[in-house]
Amino acid sequence: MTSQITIEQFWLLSPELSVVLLGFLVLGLDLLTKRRGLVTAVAIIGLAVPTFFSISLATSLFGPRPTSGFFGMLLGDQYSLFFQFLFLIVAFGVMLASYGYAEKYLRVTPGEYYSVILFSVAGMMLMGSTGELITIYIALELTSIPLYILAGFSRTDTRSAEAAIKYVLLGAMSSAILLYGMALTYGVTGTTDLHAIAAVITSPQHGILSGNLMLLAGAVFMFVGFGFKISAVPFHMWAPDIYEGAPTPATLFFSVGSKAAGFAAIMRIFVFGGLASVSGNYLWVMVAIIAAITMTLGNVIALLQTNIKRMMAYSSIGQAGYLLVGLAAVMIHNTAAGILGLLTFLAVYVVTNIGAFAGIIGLADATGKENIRDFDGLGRRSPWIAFGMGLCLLSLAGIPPQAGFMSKLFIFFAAWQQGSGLTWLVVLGLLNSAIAIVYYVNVLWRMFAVDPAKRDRLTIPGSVNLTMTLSVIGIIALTIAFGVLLTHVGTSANSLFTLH
Amino acid sequence: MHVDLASIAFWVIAIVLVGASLAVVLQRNIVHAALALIVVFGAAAGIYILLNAEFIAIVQVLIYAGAVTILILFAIMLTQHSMGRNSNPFSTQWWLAALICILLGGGIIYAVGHSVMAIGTATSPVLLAGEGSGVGGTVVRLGQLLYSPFQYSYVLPFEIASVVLLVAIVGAIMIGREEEE
Repeated sequence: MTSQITIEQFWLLSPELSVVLLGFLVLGLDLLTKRRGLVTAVAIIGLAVPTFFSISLATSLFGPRPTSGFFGMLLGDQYSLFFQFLFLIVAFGVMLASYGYAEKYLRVTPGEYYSVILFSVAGMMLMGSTGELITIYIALELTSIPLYILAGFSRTDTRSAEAAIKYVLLGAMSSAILLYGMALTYGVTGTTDLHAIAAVITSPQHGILSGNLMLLAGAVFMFVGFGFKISAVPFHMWAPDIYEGAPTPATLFFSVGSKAAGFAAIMRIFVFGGLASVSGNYLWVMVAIIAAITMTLGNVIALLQTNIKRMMAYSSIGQAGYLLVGLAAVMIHNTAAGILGLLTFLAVYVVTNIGAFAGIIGLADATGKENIRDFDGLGRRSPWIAFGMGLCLLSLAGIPPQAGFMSKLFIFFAAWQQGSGLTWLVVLGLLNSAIAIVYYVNVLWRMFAVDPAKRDRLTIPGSVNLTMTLSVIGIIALTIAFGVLLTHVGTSANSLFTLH
Repeated sequence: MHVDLASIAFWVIAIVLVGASLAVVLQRNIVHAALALIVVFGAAAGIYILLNAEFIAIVQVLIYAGAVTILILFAIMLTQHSMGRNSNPFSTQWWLAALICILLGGGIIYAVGHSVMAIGTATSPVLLAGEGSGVGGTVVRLGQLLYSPFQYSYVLPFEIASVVLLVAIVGAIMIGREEEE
């Protein structure tokens, strides 16, 4: 750890910093021009700058990459870079998919809309790359406050206002629980630096910390705080209402961004910060039980939904359950195999969910409706959107040979390898995957087999078509080049363990 | 049990703080609850003084007991039609909430009482604000902990916090603004 701030450390911060500056630029540009297309183009093409900085860090373009900066609060490991790229993809997908919809349904200026998304993305990127509890908390707030604003964006819609107020109240409560957990952890270990926490926990003279109840309470509280963000049962109640009430592009952003950022921080705290490896600390049992309830409840209730956004909310709860199975596998023996499964799953989930929501946004944009029965005959009314969305839903359901299937297989395999403790969870996960096929295929069946009441072609905005095309290309590329993804993600997963 | 002035002061303040906190939650009149909150903030400032953190105590009084409570009272005044009895209604599940709170509180108190703290023994890079408070007292130390580029400081989260405030302002304007026709 360097003892003072140097100019190289700003290179480490440059991806996040340039996203924030892009947010300022877009906000300011709005004053000068009223052309929506120009502002949107600047926001989307401007993402090239942070992407360039992230690539320069990944390839050590300007010399060796600093391992940490700002007194260990910013980390330059592969894990940080993985999430930087992932959130840049999220920003790109969300902004591109929402162009037509934002113009038609949201009475806000584009500068405000895109800058809020960009600030949130900067927060998400920081959540993956900080190694200190206070910074993680502030980054979480930078992520969440724009999400509350986005939930209430359709100001003429009372459901949107309801979603926003619910999200603010529950978000504030979960943040408070998270902070309480952080305070208890600080009380035991005497530091907020995750590297130092790991050192305290693993050092021999602190064997006293094994089974330390206060540390356990701190870890549980932090898990609960993040449990809200990743919508794990029983902290999931907000998700369906808020997914339904918020404008559809914002729902897309919640379902991919908030979840991935929550998992990024959980893995950072529990694996890098060593909280999962305290002996005599059976956190993995709690995580396994929560995983079991989360995936079962999410998938079973998704069967009953009539609104596509509510269905996707419960589907995303189910997906969070699969991710928690991976987390339990990581925690039981502190192995990198589970992390590998989790990161791969997240990468595939982000790309497929952007595609699936592009379909929902396309339909909502063209018809203003968002019930599952409105998808009747979409295969004839808009073949490309229906095809792309079908492909994404099949990947989410985990139908082989798609990337969604392989990443899920990796998670279950990692859990299976941990021995008899998690076998029941894997079996339950497989049962859940079977349930999930029903509701995903139901939408497919309606799109391709049911005769629509109206047969007119839908006019889908070009930006939604483009998002769909890019997601389809992304899914096919991930499926074909799954091995390449695994090698890159493998180094990221291992980098969580190397500093110890 | 060793009794000195500081521990007597602590217990007095602690009892006032817990009592006022209960009043905030249990008062049926929302204005009374807001007024009890001032006592909570003031008692917390007292705890900070006992911990040798005078600057934090003064800031607590200025910002929380002063500005924040005024803001809350204004918000109540502008949104509530009646400020009388039962303006702060209970949920029907209050007994369940109380039960969970008691269990959780008891659990935490038990955990804190039966745990070893590594504070002070850890090779922590963080100096507590109270340490080394010779010349200038804790204010200098706090300033260094917030901004110093030359020694361990929380300058990164501090700067991120400024972006958080900006986003909050942008959002408030966006949601609160009058509709342009």
